[in-house]
Amino acid sequence: MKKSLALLPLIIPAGLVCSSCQPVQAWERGTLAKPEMAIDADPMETTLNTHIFFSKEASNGGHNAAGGGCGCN
Amino acid sequence: MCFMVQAAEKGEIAPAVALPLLQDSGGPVLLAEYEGQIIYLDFWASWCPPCLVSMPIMNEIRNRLQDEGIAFEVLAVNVDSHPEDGIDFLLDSPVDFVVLSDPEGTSPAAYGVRGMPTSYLIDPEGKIVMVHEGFKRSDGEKIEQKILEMAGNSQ
Amino acid sequence: MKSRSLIALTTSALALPGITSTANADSPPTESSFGYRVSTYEEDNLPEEFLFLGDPERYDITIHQFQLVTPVGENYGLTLSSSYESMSGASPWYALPVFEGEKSIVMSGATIHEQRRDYNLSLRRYQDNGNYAFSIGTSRENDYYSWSGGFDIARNFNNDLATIAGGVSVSNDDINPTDAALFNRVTDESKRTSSAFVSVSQIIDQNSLFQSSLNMTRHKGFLTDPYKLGDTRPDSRTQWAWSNAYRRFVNSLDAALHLDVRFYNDDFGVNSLTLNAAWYQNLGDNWQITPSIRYYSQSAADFFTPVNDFSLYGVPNSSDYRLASYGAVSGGLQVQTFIDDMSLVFKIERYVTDADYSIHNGQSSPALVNFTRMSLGVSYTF
Repeated sequence: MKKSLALLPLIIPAGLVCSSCQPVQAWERGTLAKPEMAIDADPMETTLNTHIFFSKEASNGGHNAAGGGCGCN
Repeated sequence: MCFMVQAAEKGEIAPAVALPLLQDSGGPVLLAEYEGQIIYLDFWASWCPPCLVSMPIMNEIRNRLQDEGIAFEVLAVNVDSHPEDGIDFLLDSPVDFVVLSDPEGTSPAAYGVRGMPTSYLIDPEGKIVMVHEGFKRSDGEKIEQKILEMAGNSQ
Repeated sequence: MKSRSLIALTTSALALPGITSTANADSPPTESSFGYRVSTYEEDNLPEEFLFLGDPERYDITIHQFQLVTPVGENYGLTLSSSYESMSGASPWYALPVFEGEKSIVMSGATIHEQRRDYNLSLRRYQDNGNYAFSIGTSRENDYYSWSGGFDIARNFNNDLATIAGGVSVSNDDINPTDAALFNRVTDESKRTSSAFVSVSQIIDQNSLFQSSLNMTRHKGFLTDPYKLGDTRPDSRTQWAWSNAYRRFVNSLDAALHLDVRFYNDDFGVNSLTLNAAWYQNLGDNWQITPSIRYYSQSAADFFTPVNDFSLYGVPNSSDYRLASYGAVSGGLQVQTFIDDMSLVFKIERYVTDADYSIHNGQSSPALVNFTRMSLGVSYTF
């Protein structure tokens, strides 16, 4: 029960967003396919940023599972 | 686009296509003009990597089959909302077949295209024989095999 | 000249769950790409007014990154990445009760020189309705060794308008501090980390998309900083992060807006908020300029003390500024250019912390760090 409650933060925004969704057809996704429209537009920059902020701040965790650690924190 | 169209399925008559050429002014070109030939109708866009993989492969297959005397033609429909993007790609990798332009997407809507690319093998009577979604290099062989089979049956 | 979006797709989007699927049927990279990036950042010196003893010169860090993305067969994509990091400088050792003015920080005596190397490999299988990947990695320093392994999977729904993804990873870190005998440090410690995430991505319309994800990470074992004097931390930590990303393309300006919000909480007592905004402005076909701004605020850990209390031996307590309450503002500017099959990128970023920037509770530390970072990168598609 507690676990499924934990999913609420995902389901609620997705539901709110979806209520205003228009079905975007397969051939209408040219703009969404632009590299600058990716959630992670630059994985090398993201890796670097994650590493730097991990070593400087108390928080971590983003859009995927954690990788290995380092002696920097 | 809020409407959903019934997808054009195998065994059905291919919906009509009448579109201008992508690179040259002129047209419209009608799918119906190609009746009597086996047609590979391909919906593609410059932003779709597997679409771009398919173009040179289908060009090779088309030229090879035509050299063998098979009545086969490729009709490609570019669905880029900015047709210049499609033109740019063809300037770098030219093809010998006819490429049409449909930035409004009326023809993929009529076919109920669900993924990019989607292609339709249409027999000489205008009936859809095969619907193919996506494109991998090895798909070229399978498609060529199917066309040869169709050509064998109609002789 | 290859399509610019194709180049970038092979280098970026294809490697990630829930991304390509939002636009294309899931497809592996069709071309290979190689990327190299060198970044250097200098932490500002510790202000003299806070320095009691030691070297005020904090870390200078240089990181070289390499990445190769290549198709394997028709259904797989392989990503190999590696980085080499070298650092030198001093870091806060402990904080004393104030004797004179605000002087309290004792920095590590000698300049520290350290190197770190990591290698990561991920193999992703692409299917008609999603993809999945296995990944492994190691990271090695002279006093630290870490390995990790992970699995993630993504499935597309609703005519590929939505993607649900999830994943798990585990890692093990071995810690063998240098000069252990000299400074009475621990000699052979380890910690285990397990982590899981779920995410939902949704296409909103032709120009915008949204992703929400929830991440839980649990650490068990030796979580104390062995190089700080009088530092003791609990032997387990559970972290929760809820991240939201919004992407919108503005056709009239040929630009993309990125907005990111993250809420974070852990059982050390740290809460944090992270806000990110970036504007990817295309200038013609070959240039892109991206200003970005980030705001971060955290509360102090329950056991944070601005100055070390050496009577608390063995009880959780730490004067590590990273566990203090503070806020950070950073601004960056990135310039990218595309030349045939190559892309060049330059980025500069300034990161500034201050106790007053925090919207959270808790005491702050005089040892907060500011830095300027520069990166130069090249990528090539073949």
